[in-house]
Amino acid sequence: MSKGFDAFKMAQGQFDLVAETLDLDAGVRAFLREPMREYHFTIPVHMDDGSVEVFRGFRVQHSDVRGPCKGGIRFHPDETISTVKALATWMTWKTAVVDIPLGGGKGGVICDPHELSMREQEQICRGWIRNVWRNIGPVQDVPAPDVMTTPQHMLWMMDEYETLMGGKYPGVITGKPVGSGGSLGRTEATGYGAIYTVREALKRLGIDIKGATMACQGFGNVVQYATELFIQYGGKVLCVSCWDQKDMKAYTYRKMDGIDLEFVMSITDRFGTLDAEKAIAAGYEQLSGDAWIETEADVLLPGALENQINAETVSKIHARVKVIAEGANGPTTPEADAVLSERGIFNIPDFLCNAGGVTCSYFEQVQNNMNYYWEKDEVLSKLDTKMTTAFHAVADLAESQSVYMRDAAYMIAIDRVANAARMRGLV
Amino acid sequence: MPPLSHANVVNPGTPEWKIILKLLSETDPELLSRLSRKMLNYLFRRKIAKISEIMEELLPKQVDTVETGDMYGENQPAPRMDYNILEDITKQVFRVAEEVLSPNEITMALYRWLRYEKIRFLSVTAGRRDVPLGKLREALDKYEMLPKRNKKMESRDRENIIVGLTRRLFTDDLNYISTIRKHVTIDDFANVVNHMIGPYNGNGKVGGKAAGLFRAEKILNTYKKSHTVLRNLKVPKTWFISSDSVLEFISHNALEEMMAIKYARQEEIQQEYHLLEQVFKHSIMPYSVLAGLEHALDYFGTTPLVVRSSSLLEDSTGAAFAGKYKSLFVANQGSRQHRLDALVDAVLEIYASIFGPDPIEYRRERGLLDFNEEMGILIQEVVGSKIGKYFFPPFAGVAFSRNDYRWSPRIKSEDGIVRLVAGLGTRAVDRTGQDFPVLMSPGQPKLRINASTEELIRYAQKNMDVVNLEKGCLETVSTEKMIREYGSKVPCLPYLVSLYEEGTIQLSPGSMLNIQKKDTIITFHNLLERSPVPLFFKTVLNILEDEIGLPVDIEFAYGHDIHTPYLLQCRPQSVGKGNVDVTIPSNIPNDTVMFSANKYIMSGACHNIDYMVYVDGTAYDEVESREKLLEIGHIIGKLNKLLPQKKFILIGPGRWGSKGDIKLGVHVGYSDINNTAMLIEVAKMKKGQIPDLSFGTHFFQDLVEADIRYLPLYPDNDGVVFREDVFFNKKNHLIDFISKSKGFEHIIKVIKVTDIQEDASLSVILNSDVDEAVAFLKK
Repeated sequence: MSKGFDAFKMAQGQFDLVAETLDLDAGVRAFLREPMREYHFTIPVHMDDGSVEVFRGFRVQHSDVRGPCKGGIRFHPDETISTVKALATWMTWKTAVVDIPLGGGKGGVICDPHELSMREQEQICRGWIRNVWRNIGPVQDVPAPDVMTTPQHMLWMMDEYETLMGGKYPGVITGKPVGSGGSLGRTEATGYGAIYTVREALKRLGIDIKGATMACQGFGNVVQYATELFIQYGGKVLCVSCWDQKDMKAYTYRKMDGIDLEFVMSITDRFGTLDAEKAIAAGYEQLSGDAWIETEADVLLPGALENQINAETVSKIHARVKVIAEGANGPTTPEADAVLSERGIFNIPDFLCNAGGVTCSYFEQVQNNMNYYWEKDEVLSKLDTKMTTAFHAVADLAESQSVYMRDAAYMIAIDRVANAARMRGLV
Repeated sequence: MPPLSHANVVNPGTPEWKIILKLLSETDPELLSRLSRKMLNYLFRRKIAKISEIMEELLPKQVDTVETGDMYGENQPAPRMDYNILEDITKQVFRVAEEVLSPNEITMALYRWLRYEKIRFLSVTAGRRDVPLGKLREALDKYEMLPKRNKKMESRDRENIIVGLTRRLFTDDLNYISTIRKHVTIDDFANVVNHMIGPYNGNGKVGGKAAGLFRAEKILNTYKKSHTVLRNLKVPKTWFISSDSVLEFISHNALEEMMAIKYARQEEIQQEYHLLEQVFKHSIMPYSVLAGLEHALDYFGTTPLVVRSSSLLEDSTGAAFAGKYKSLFVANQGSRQHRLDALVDAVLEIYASIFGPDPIEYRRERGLLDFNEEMGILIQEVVGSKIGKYFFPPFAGVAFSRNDYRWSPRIKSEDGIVRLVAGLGTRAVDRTGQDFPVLMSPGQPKLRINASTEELIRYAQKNMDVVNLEKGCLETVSTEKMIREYGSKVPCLPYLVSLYEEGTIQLSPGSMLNIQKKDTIITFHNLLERSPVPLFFKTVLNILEDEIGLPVDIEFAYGHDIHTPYLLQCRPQSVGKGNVDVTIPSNIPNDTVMFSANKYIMSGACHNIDYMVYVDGTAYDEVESREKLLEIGHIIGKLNKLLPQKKFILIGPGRWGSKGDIKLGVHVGYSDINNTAMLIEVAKMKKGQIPDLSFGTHFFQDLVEADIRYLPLYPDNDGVVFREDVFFNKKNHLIDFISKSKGFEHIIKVIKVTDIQEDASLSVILNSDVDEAVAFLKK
């Protein structure tokens, strides 16, 4: 084995640190360090040219002590079991931190959809289900789309599952299109969810959201909806950033008296890129791609990319900044975390801040299981309740134990899972 | 005087053929002698022994008078025969014919040959390579007027005429002539000449582009019966301006001194070009051309037109001249005078483009500067239909019979590649770098480049080119706006778009209800999955490559639905951008080879490389932290901005741009590598396994549009050179460029080529035909 970076070892290392803080028993630690179940299987496929190819598939169920496992299925040629195990573990913590009654899982197939026809991909999806259909389902393990899998893949899988089960089980998989068992509100869920937590954070810090300011990185789906809700609450969004394909660089577009979302949306293509000319003509400053981080604002919302707040950039954060809401996955490096913690900046960690998506998946499954579908308002108000409660639980712990928010979030998540395991008498 | 009766001339019962011969011997002995030659050949072909004897007589005799030195061997002219002997032969031939053939057969043969005499004028005209256009038109008109039975002729006569007409109108190129002769009829040429504009006494041709299109069309026509998918294939209505018209124009306006501009320095040409363009536009079109253009306008009506250059150099030299001369769109709206003015303007602009800096430089590089400036022009109707104020084809593009950009090892070079765009094909022909056509391999239409939602959105076509009929110009409009405004009125829409809803893509749009209100993206999904279009391209490209004997590229557009393909252009495929030579030299000294490859090679060449950036696979594997792995990607991104553009190549382990497990390849985005000349992935055996490579799929379309070459390297394969030692033994310049990159020198190597060999640069030549690539040092 090459030494090298190992994703699952990293996940275990992180768990060990928190387990130490929580002073967990050896038995609990041993139980939660490893996935409960791992399925490895082969999927033979008759290719379009008549040949047969055999693909390797996985499903890892890290933990189901709090409810059916939840996690995506990845189609990736670079897939390794180590990555899948690490991601399954993180899903357990993610569902636990928002306190939805689900566990953590992840699956995948080593394949490159770029090299497969749609028919071949369909065969892989159906083959995947034929291998694990006895071990997944609405009451055991609920997959969802992930890297290079789409709602189309999910529908093929659902169809195969229902065929084998001889009934209708839309709750076997989430991420379905609206009309085929999907939930309304999914588009808004992540961005709105992030702002519910921001709203609560500002409350705790005694800052009125009316008149509060926010600087955002990115202008994709998450930031667009986060901006919408933040402005609805009376706040001002000072800047957003985007990648400009023409100039091959990122820009920040800033308007210190607050962007006009309706106008900005009208000059944005569906790739989240603003029309530079029109933005400048309307009085928006065009600044370098990382200028968002220097902006004088109450809230920073890194909403699109990893590693944006790192050892280099963390020093550029304006003194006024009180809250960092991690809309994207992994926007802050450990070096930067140390600085933020020292400066007393309130961090809403990614797996809490952007948990609106997974919560909405949970709602999708709930609606599937009862075969009754909510209006969008109902979905969003239930989301608000979930996110708000989850946020305060973490914030309370951070306050009472005087720990950094990210650590508090891990502690509460792992503690919840450990408790459930203990109460069941497993450990 | 008593009336002349039959009886006075010949006896009753004399066979008809004898009467004919008698008549001819009295009235037209020359014709009689041609007929007897035909009969001689006819009998010879029937292997009649006696006729061979007569032929013998015609052969020069060996004379045994060696002493006199009077012998004529093959190096001496044969003696002329007595005319009487020839006359005698006529008699002998028909005597033999009488013995072996029935009277009826002889009569019928004579009828046939006499009828052919009526069209003999055509073979005489076609045989003259300098026959004036006017005369040729008259001859072909005369031929067209003949009743069908009079057009019959022997196949060799027909072929002779066809070859003559091909030379006169198209080209002397022997490959062209031999590939086209069995696919054309004389009427096809009549059709061309009837739509040809030029001086009556001129002897110009139609030029390379027109010739290429004509050949492809005729070849494909002969396959229509056996291949139903070709049945509706058409070529747009076309008029031709003969290549010498430009010379007529120049002399008419006394612009001869302009011809010398090509020998000026490049900067002077650049300076003078705009002036020249204006001078041309303010000059007078000769009457012969102007009248022809008026005629053409009446023929076309008010449909939009495209005026394309059709250079003689294109076909006579093998140089592609891809995109070197202009193609101009003319909306062709408004008053007749206005339309004519606009058309004349476009023609003059193309004439001026002969003297443009780009084409002249291109010719200078290829030693074609002294070639005369003749250039034909094609005036074609624009394929498409009117939607609101716009006119455009639902989709169009270019197709190549060889695929130089394979995104999967499952795709073979001969599977071909098609670049599809909605609207006019201009966006597929040119690479904008910011907008993307859909790429399809007709041999493997189901293997797509873009798989994830993110990729489908990022690499979707955002804008389309259309003719704006109101403004009278070519315009680029957003596809989204077009669909919002016109919805299902845009033809073929269900075949072109997928729906984007709630963050997900529904590939097949299904019902097109309320399409205006939906979020659509161009994917061509249904076109590739559920239409005969991929089969059409596979068929066309296979047939053309087989018949022409060379890889080809074509331009096409669809009329108003998926069953109305139009062929717009066909030429031998230019390899890489600007027709790069990819022949691998046979005399590369072994010690100058840095690396080589022999698997999944695409064609192309990179020269004058000064730096090699190498990421060492073993050291990369050993990196333990994710942060450090990410930092390696950042350093590559910085090098990409600091190193001289297109003068360096990137060599790294496994999958560049890996987004999953970043251990399997350096984590970079396209902007981190966009200045490299080449991207190389090394698949070195690890634990007895060869890792899979990415084939650049993470940013494949970006690589294609930016013309960045991709090369997979398998160092453990037989016959492959990989001088890894160079990366470790030569000075690493990494720190010189990025002082903060300490601690990464053992992973990232920046090697200066001149450190390996003084005054040298690196050349990499990739040749897909032989599936070989080699990188070597060159002084």
